Amino acid sequence: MNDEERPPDKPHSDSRRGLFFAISALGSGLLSGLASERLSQSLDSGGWVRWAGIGLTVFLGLFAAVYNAPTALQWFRRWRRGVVSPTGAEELHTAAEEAEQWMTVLGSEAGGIAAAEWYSLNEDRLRELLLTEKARDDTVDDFARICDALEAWYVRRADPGAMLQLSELLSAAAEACNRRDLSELGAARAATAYRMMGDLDAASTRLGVSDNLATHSRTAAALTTRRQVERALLHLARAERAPAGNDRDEAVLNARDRLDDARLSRPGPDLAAEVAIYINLAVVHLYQQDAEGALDQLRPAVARATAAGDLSGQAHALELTGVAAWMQRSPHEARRWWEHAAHLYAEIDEREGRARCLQHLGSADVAAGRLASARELLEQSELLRTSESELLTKYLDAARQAVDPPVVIEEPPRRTATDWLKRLVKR
Amino acid sequence: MGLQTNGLTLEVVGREVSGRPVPGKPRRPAGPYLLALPALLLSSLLIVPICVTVVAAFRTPGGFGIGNFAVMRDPGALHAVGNSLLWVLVAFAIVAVGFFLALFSYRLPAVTSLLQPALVIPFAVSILVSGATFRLIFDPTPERGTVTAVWTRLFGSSPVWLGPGLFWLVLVSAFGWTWLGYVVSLFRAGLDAIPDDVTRTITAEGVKGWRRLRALEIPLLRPITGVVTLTVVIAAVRVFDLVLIVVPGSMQSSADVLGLNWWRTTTSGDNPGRTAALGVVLFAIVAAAGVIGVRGLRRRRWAMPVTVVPPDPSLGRPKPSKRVRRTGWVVGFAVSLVWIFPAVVLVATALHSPREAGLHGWWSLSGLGFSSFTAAANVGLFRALLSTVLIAGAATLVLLVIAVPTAYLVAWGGLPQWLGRVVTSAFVVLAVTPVQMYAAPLRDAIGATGLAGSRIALALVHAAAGLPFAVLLLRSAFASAPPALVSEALQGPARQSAVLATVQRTYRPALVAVAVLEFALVWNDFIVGFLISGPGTTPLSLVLWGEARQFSAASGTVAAAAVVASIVPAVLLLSFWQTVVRGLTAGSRP
Repeated sequence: MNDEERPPDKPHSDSRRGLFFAISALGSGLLSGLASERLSQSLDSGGWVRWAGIGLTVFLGLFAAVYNAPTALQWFRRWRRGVVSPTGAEELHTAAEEAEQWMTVLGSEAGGIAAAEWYSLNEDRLRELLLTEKARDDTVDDFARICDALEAWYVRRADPGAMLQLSELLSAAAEACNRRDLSELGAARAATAYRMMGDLDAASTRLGVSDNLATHSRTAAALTTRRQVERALLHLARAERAPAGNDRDEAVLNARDRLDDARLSRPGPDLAAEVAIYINLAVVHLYQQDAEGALDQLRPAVARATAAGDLSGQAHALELTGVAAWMQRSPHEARRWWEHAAHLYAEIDEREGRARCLQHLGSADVAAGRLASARELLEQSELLRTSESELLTKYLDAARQAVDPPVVIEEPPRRTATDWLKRLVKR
Repeated sequence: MGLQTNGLTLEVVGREVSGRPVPGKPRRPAGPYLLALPALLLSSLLIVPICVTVVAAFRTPGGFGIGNFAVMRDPGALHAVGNSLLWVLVAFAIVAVGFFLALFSYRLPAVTSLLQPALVIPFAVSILVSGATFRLIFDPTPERGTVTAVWTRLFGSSPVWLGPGLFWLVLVSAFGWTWLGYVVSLFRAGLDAIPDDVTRTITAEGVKGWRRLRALEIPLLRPITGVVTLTVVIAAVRVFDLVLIVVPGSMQSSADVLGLNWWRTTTSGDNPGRTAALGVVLFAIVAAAGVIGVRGLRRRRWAMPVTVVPPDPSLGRPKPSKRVRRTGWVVGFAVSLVWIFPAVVLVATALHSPREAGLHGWWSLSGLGFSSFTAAANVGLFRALLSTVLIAGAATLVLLVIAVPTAYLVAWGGLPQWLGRVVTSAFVVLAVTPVQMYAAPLRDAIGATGLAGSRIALALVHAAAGLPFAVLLLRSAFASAPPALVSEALQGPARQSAVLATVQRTYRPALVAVAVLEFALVWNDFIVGFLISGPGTTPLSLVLWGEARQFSAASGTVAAAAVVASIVPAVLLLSFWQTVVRGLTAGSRP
């Protein structure tokens, strides 16, 4: 830790110390007054206590004054400038309030669709605001709040380009204002963006940067969780790219480890993270061809998401329940789950998720040989998608009878040590 | 790409955590902290006296200072420190010899089946018994001492083995006889845990000899080497009873070690501050060894040697050729014969009458019978036996009841990382603390409460002394549970019993290892009983020691008492040795 990294904590600790001195000045004044009074009443000799008390009070008071002087001076200046406060700051504040309100309902039962609509209408305005308004020490929090809101929206929309830009804005603002916690957050977000773009190495580097910046702020646990989840997703991305075999198994196991760490560091009230961890654990089980295990994770995920009114998480969990059902060779059930999930995604206008569900349904139709309905579903999915999907193209080609459907190599359910232990436990 | 299942490729995506980070701390249950309470109470039996000793060491008549450490300038004390350091070198040598013996038995698999029990018996036998045995073997008169007799037959005359300088040979061979079996067994377990494919790859690449050793065995065995070295070095620094029984009284000052020097200064009524300073020096050496050993261990995680899934026998190591196997049998047989020889000497001596044993060697055919056992019974052997059973049983029971929840807490209680590390280090330091650190204040305290000579007090002290090691061992066994399951148990969805069920394969051996080792250690203990308990408890080893004072006159009685005292730990360790080794090696992850 060098000197350049020190300053961000300083204003906080300064004001805290100033407050501490003020309180102790008050306390010592009161206590010494009381003590000297008692002593003079009972012993007729409280004089020196009194003088010492006054001395200490003055001393502490001086310290408090010195420490609080900059803040007081700032207030005084602001007061003298009167109403002519910078309009930019106010605009930023209003926008932040508004964006945050919509962020809380984004993907939720109550007003999810309205939030999506609001964001699609206002995202340009907010971006413009972030680009034009320079973040200052007093506005950087509002700035960060807008970034938070926009990030949530871009993640839903799966728009990594915009996310990367946003994270760079946030990092720059954090740098300018010496806010380490925000730099940490910015780096973590950049990692997510890079991963979504497919650049896993850059993502991993950014996570390392974020790790190095880690602070002990109040959100430290949440950020640790986020990084662990992100690492797990990175491993899962690697697993997806790897052909079935040792590399894939290892990547999946690594993901599992990271998720377990995430689970232990998750702050108590962070329900969204909890749902995300459950869902990712289910993905891990699915990669291990362990449908039962996946369902064990998905049930609590659905329950938590429903309790929190998080329609998006619920739909995601139901989508994966469908995948698990398919793995268990019950296609009808799988189809029902996917239809349900697609319906939920539609209710909150989460196009990417809905497109995925339609794709599952379409590819299932391709496999069953119902090409007409498959084509319809897959074309609908293609319309909704913002990102390119190789798989979708393949199935679409198959549905249009251009080529045969992609060949799938059957994998037997793998016997892992955990499986074995679990069976042992059940016995 | 994609998830291929059931004739379909599906796009499966994970879920990010997005939006604003939520402030707050991870939720950790506070209840488990209560599990540490009994362990804290029991450990205070050691911690408080240790603190008293440390304070006493720094307290001089003129306030606090390091004046008491001037005792180290005393030539006797300096000599003792030098001898203690020599013992450390001996420990290293034993580890090296044990390593090569294990390697040898690994390369020639047939050796093991014979060698293993031969190596275990000495470890089960108390150091006092092993000292007595070697004293019998190296007896200076050719009529009685085996080595002297053979030497005289070969070269005409024989040096006095228990004379100045040469008694070191006797001491070291007795020590090595006791510890080598342990070293070899642990190294063997580590070698067996090396995955076959690694061995095959290395062999296929044509790496042989030293290079193979440096590339494969030494790095993979580093954690086990750490554990083994730690145990043996600490045993070497704590050497006490061995010197007392082996070295004849007139030469004991030249064989002095720190622990013994401490005891001599306490009995001679020296200033308590100075003796405390000696204890602190001893403690500092041992604690440094312990901390360094554990730090070295922490660097590398190590593969659990407990095979969770039994391997397919057809995939095992290729069976060695017939010639190799035959050589292995012969060599193994020879080595085990040599190794078992002291035990044979002991039993044979015990089977002679006390008079005959005092006059002739174990090989003489006259005076055979059980009269030595009768003589041993007359000096209170059976009362002592009963007393020892009670003490060892009670200590083991108390230890298990307290160590298991504590280990559980340290492994899975969700302690913050720093606290876990502090607790572990504290246990490591406590585990290696020499008895001299807490003996004097504890004896005074026990005397003051009127519990002097009470078996319960002695059992509690034993349990407290065994607790740190037990917790460390059980902790690593518990920690081998899949972290997924543990985190689930902590957060709610899975039940803690499920975790326990999962790790039973690792914790059962560790539990057995703790119980068996604690029982055997308490049974064989001399120093705790000698330094702390008053008269009345009369554990076995004290009776043995009392008899051994007139060694040459009472060698038959001593041998008989030693045989009786060794039966229980030998049978116990022989029958549980495989499990004990598995428990010990599963626990070599600090």
